[in-house]
Amino acid sequence: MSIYSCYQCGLCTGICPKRLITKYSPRRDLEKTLLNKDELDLWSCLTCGLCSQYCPQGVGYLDFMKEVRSNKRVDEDTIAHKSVFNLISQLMIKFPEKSGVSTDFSGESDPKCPIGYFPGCLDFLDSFLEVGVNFHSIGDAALKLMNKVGVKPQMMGLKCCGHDELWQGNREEFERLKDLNTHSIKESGIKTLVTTCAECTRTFALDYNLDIEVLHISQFLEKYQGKLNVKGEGIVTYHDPCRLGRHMQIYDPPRNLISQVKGMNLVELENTKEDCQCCGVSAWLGCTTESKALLVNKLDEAEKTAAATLLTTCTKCLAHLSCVLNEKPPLKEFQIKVQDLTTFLAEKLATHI
Amino acid sequence: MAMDRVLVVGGGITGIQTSLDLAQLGFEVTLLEREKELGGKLTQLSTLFPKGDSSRELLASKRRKLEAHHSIKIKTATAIEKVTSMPSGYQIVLRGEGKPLEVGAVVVATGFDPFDPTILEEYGYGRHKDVITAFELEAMLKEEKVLRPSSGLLPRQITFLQCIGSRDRNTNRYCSYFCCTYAVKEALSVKKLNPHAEVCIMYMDIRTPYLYEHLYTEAREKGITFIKSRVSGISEHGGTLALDIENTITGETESFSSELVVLSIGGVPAAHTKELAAHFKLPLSDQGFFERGDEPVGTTSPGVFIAGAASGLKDIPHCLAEASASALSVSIFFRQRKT
Repeated sequence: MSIYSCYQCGLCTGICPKRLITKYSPRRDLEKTLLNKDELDLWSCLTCGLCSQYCPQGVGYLDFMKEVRSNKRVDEDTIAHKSVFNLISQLMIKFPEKSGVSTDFSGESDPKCPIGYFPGCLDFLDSFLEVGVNFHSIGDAALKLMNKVGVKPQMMGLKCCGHDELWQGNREEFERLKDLNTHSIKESGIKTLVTTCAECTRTFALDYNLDIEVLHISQFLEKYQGKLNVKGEGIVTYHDPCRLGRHMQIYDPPRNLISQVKGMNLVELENTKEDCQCCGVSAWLGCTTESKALLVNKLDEAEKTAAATLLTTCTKCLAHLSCVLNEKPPLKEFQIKVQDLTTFLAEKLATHI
Repeated sequence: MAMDRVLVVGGGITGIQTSLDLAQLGFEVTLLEREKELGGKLTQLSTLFPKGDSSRELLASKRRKLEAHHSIKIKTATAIEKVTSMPSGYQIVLRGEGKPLEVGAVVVATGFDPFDPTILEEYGYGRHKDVITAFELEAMLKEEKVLRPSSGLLPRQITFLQCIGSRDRNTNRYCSYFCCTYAVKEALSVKKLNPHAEVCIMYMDIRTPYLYEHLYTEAREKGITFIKSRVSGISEHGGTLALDIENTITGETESFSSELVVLSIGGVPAAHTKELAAHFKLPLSDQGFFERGDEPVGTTSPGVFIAGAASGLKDIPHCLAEASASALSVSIFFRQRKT
């Protein structure tokens, strides 16, 4: 629904995770817009989608945010990691012939395969983040799992999907990336695009107009469940990334895969699926001392399940959660580990058949 | 003979009034009620807005009138098994009865069911003892004792939450029409019983149409607080309920304390609406209530009329008006048949 159906009841502000740590009020932003006032708080929203889900009128707050941020410039000092990831995107746009994400992962691929795998910004994250995660291993794991089920995917050395540019309001940059990628995808002839990051999945599926199937790797592997043969032990829990969950209603595939691991027990978080709490940062915006409080809450909630590992399906959630775990000196002593579902599954593959 | 007999389905206040008016007009009436007792929702209510009449007394006086009419046959704990359309009307087989009933016209007055708030987990109904529905509060008001179910003590704060199961795309999009007025009425009753209690109503818009406005004004004058906000979650801390809200007047988020929370639940189509619709080939609206035809209380099926909340939620005065209108419509229908 458009924002004109807003009742101004304030449920959005009452439920907003950002409101727990700041004075941000989604209702206030809607009110100001309805009254044609400027001075919106454009950059606080985490675009987690919790408010829209519970809004009695179903006001599309995500679309609203995308629209009002469009072509507005966020103060570069507030973008985490000195805007390095924006620079990478801009370089890709400037040198389209010579640029793209790295596709150098171990495993078998086939340039003619109708199924493409896009690793996203994994290697760039390794270059600029020190959060105790080997992001490259997610790509290796994806190939290992796809090979295991008999698929040698075409490696997609696309440009960045443009997710962060889009949500930072850099519409021109986003459209350029979208055009370049759409062209490359058409040329590749793939019918299915598989990604390992929830942000890429959302962006290709909802913000592009591709006429091919876009799947998160958990959806893709779910089709080959019987072939995986995975074993493990202990307890894990699962964090639904907003991009996969509330944005796309993909809740079951990751859970079905976890339940395929023989001997592994999935214990749900207290706030799970539709109610899963945000990891605290979105599109590199709002990474502050306060946002760390949301991450600590999240990890506390995860530890209550007695799980050894908190799994997720979004590279960014993984980065933000790991960042807090690796804070020096430690913010808090946590026992739990955070891991991407893809590497977790690859580790659990039975070594001999 | 079948020509002059009318079946009234539903023995709530609408069905009772319809039966009385039909009998006054000289028709033979069969009044059918699924439950053991007549009265419907009225049996659950304490006083009625706007004048504060006792629902018990209203029902008793209507019952006395019913008993005075020998042309009204009352069948409680009875449901319809099968309906056959005939040139002269309808042949109706009642469950557990051998001989079918033949009627020339039917008035459907099956009312509504209260919305079940259990599915809205954020309010903790069924989890927190001190979160109750307005119908449960009515039961307490009938006894003139509004106490916290958890402790049996007087609540120091009582908070009404509006639009529970109404005006919400996650449940029902429509406004349930009567909740604002009954909440204001209940808030006034609570305040009268327990003058020291802080009584608050949390609302999205207050809708107390026409003369009910004076109840709203009275509530404000008597010190009942109105906060425009929709609660996003309820938790329990040390025996007190904490309501997460944005107070949209101040723009501040608050954890609002209350010892008793009353959910102003709306209504949904009565449980057997679909079944009955199939029997009489009646279309249903998108919301699941009976759809009316072109005439005010008519339907698209000949000789079938509809009165009260069965065609959409309304308050008792409107239900009574439709009851009388449907009796008159039946009379007009019969007269047109004869000519």
